[in-house]
Amino acid sequence: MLGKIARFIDDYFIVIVLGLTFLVLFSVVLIPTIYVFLLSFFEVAISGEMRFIGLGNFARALSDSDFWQFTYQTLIYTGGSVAMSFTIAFVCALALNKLRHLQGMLRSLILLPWVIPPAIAGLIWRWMLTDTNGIINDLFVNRLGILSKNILFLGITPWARLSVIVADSWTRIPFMAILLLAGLQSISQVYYESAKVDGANWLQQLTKITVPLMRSTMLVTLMIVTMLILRTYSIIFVITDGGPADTTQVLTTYIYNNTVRYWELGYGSALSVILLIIVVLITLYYTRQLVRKSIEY
Amino acid sequence: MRRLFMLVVVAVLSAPLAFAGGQRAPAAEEKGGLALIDWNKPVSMYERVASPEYRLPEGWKEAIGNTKELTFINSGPLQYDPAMAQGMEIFTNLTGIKLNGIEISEELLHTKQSAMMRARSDKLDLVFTTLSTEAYYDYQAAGWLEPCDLLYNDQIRTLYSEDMLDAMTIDGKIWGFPYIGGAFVYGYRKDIFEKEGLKPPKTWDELLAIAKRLTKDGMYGFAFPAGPSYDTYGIFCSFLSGAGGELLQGGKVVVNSPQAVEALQVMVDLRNKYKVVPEGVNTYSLQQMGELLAAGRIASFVSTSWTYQFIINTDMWENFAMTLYPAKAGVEQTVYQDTSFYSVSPYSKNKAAAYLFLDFLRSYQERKLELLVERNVIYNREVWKDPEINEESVPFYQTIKSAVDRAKIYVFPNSQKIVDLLNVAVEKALAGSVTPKEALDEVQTKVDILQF
Repeated sequence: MLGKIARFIDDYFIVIVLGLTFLVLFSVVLIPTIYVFLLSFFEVAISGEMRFIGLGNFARALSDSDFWQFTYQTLIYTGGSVAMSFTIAFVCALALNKLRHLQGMLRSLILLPWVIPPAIAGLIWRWMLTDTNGIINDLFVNRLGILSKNILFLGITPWARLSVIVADSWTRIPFMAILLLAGLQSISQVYYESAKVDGANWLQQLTKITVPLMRSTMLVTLMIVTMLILRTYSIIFVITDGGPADTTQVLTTYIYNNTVRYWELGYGSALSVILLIIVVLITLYYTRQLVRKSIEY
Repeated sequence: MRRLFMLVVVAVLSAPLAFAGGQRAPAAEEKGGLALIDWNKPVSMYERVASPEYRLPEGWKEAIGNTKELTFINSGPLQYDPAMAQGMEIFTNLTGIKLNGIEISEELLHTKQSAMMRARSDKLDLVFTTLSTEAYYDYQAAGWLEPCDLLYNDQIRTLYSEDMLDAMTIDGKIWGFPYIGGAFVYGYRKDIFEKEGLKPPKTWDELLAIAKRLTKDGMYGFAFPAGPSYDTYGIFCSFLSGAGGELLQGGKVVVNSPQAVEALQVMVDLRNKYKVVPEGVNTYSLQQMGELLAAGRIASFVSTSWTYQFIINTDMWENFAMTLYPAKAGVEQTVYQDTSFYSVSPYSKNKAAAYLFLDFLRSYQERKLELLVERNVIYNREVWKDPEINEESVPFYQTIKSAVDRAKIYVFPNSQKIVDLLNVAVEKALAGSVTPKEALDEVQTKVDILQF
């Protein structure tokens, strides 16, 4: 008996391993996703009783002014966070690529924000940004005297939005920088040497060699980080909890509020499905860009 | 190697299945367990519960059957709830029933508890609710609370204020017992007041005059927390009480009454017109009031009575005092209070034991522990008369007792959503983007839809 089992494992090892992997993926990822999708067609009472309402929850979302406002805010937040984190990460990657002799140490340092859990990072930023005893206000108002009064980072809409974008970007930069660095290091130095010989300056090298040859890496990095940012919850919850006056509320926090705080499981599920569609559309856009012929020299 | 790898993988995947209990069947109705308890023997229920030493009712041993353990949720670690920990030990010594308090942080409590209740888990014998997050009303509507009328009679009712009894009663029945609460009071710096020759304000006009006088040298005269939605709601209700208003009218939530608009206008004016509160009040939490006072940034605040716990271990403690929150001139002072409740879960397989624990928790003996050991606000009137309860043993005893006597408590459905809507309205009004009336009218429209 044991011998038969042993022979079976030997013969079908790859199938078994792949099968187990899919089993885990199916149960942990696919089943909950399908359940949420099905739930979106029901009205779910506090007690858990369900009533089928078809597309009622989706119709409610489309007529919900809060949904449109928070979707707009989600796009602002995502766009701002992606732009800021990508720009800084790219600069960091370029710098790391230049400082090859210090790369090991700098790479470890740059990874620090990434190892801090998002909720803890949110607490740190909240502490730094408070108006009365936050260190940022203390630095600019009391120590350096650059500002005459404290900035209400968390209590005024433009500042609150910028604060959550900065905090979120801070957590993304390490991951993006490492990915971009890998892309930079895959570019042959021959191109740069030839360009130097032809008299190209650093800006021309950047725009004519680095960026075009990094296109695939940049698109993959942007795609992954965009998807991650669209799912952000902890940073916003900890720093502003959607305030002031819901101006930093995004779809993920709205989904949480509806499903967990207000017990509107059906409506929250419908919002989750809509967010999933948004994520898929953005992913498809990036994928199409990737499929376009990449540049080769 | 392959086989070893497969063995490890199978073991890892099987382990959760081996230890997971899976969803249990709903608890079967206990046959005759609870009915075996005579709550009025060996002495009347009132004597058992309102006497300094708790006495178990007759028949309890037969009623609890084979129950060896009870499980309930404790908000936060028991390490910070020594009164509850002591109470648990006393109960276990009396009955032999082990008490298992699941420690869950306040932020996660509702998520975890509601998930257990939705799953009809029999792992929880007692349910923890509050007025907003783990909403008492909504839990009752979901069928997640057992009625507790058997623990109340006319005499027992005299232990609680009318407002508290009204709050606990839904559809003519009581569904839990009030565990602990927080009264919204006025906290201030005694030393600064004495130096300026000031007395704590009793009216809004006095509050404004004092706040103006004390806003100087980098300090603000007053502050209130209007950041997190629950905190903002408490402060709004405090100002509303001060204006002589009521949140519940005819059983419905009314947020745009003339008194409510006036209350919000006062909050807005304090920040934007008179500038006697920090601009950042719309980001502050209840906890921060104590921190700001201890740091010397504010001279007074309105917050819950338990805020003093953030000052008690600081240098500021000797200079700290608390009194009732001022009301508008001519308005009878009432004090908005938040309260938590414990109830029996309908899915518990140990209902008799669960009711017994509730009976003990609400007793004089245990309530006195809460007051003496943790200085929590409790709602048993007899305990407040205990000779051991005084200014020495319970800081600001007179203030808190006075606040309990004037308690204003609101219980209504969809509380979390309404609290969140109100928070947005207050923040918009504070930011000046809309007037208080516009902000509250907008909220009322949404509240009316919820209440339809």
